[in-house]
Amino acid sequence: MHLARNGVDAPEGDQRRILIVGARTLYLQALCELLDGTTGLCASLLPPGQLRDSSMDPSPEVVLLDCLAGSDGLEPLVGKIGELHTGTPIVLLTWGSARESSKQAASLHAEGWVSMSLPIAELVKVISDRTGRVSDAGATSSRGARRPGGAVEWPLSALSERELSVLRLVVDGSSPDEIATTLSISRHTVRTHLQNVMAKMLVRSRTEMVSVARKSGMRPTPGLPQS
Amino acid sequence: MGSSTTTVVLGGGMPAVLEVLDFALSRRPTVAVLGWNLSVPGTVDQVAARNPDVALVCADLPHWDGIKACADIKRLGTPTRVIVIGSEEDQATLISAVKAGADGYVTVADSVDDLVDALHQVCRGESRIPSLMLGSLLRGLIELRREDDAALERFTSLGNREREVLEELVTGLDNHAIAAKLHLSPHTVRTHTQNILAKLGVHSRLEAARFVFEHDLLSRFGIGDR
Repeated sequence: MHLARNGVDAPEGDQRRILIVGARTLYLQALCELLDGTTGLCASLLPPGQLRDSSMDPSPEVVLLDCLAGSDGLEPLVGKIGELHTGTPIVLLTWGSARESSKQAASLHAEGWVSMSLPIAELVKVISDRTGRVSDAGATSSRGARRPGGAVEWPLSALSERELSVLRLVVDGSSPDEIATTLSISRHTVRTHLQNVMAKMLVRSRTEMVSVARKSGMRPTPGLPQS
Repeated sequence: MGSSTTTVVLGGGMPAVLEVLDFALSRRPTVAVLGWNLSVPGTVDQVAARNPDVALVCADLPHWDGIKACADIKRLGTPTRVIVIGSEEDQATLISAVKAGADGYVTVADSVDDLVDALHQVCRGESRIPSLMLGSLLRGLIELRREDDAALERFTSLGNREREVLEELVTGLDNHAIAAKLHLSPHTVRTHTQNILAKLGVHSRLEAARFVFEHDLLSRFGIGDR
């Protein structure tokens, strides 16, 4: 899995391009129009069947793949997109809960996921983060800023309050046992939280967890000795 | 065209779905979105309060009963028309939508402009069903009608006393309670019940009750109304 998180070095001024692949035209076309209209991201929609003829040049910055697009599984589509647009991150567009979505995204080695069951501002924020552009819709939304401690970046925005505090302690260098003591919860609960955080952040280890968290803007608590 | 804009209220279970539809429809000069709601009762309330030309409800999203929303909106008795959004292959949803009183059915494979056409069309009093689905819809409805007729035939084979016992049985009374109410011996009620089950072709009292509800025998014959 090669990650291109925080693609901040994208050139300024030109239109960021998003390719949406899916068959639910009604919703996806409406999504394209919203992205075009509110973010300046240039989105286009392609039915999965026409993927093979697509020669989007230059390659899009992000491919948004509808998880319901593949009648015989998503792997062939993911493979095809990888062939046509090497290195372009694929973000899975889902219609379910965070848990199901992150599982599905992880199994496909997708860059991440967005769900239509979230408010659109969060979805737009994830997509604009992927393309290195600050969006009006995301920035002005009051719904996005519901977590204390300022805005957190995707993939952290998928975490619950409790999961975020566990993650903060991991970033500060606490061991699972220390986390259990600090938060007055059982070791077992800490383990469950850590597993869920890993699933949502699409990482496989606590080390990778810390690295992704720091890249996403989480800083260690000042004044603590750094391990 | 007469009145220039069609007013719409949206209902569905996913915020982003409703927000993108709201955005896309609001851009069209001939459509005005009055509001949207994430719950079925909330959608029905909003339709009652704002009286839109059309209510647009999603029936293809998990954990959201678009058919119930459609039926409840129709039950308001206001002139608001209802369009149900469903999937292309889902014949069962289309049939339930039509039974629930939907004026139109739009599939998720349609474009936003198809949806706008559909809004204007039902607003003019026409109905809108995807032509590819019409054949199987008719077959489905005829099949349903045939089952209904067969059910009716079985129902009319009941004697008067049996029908009375069935009425009580459907309300959930047991044999003793029915016996007391109809001034019969529990033994007689048991015999009636057995005959009722045999005539309706069901195996339990619960199934008998379901049979009555499923074929709408309540409203058709005033059974259970009191």
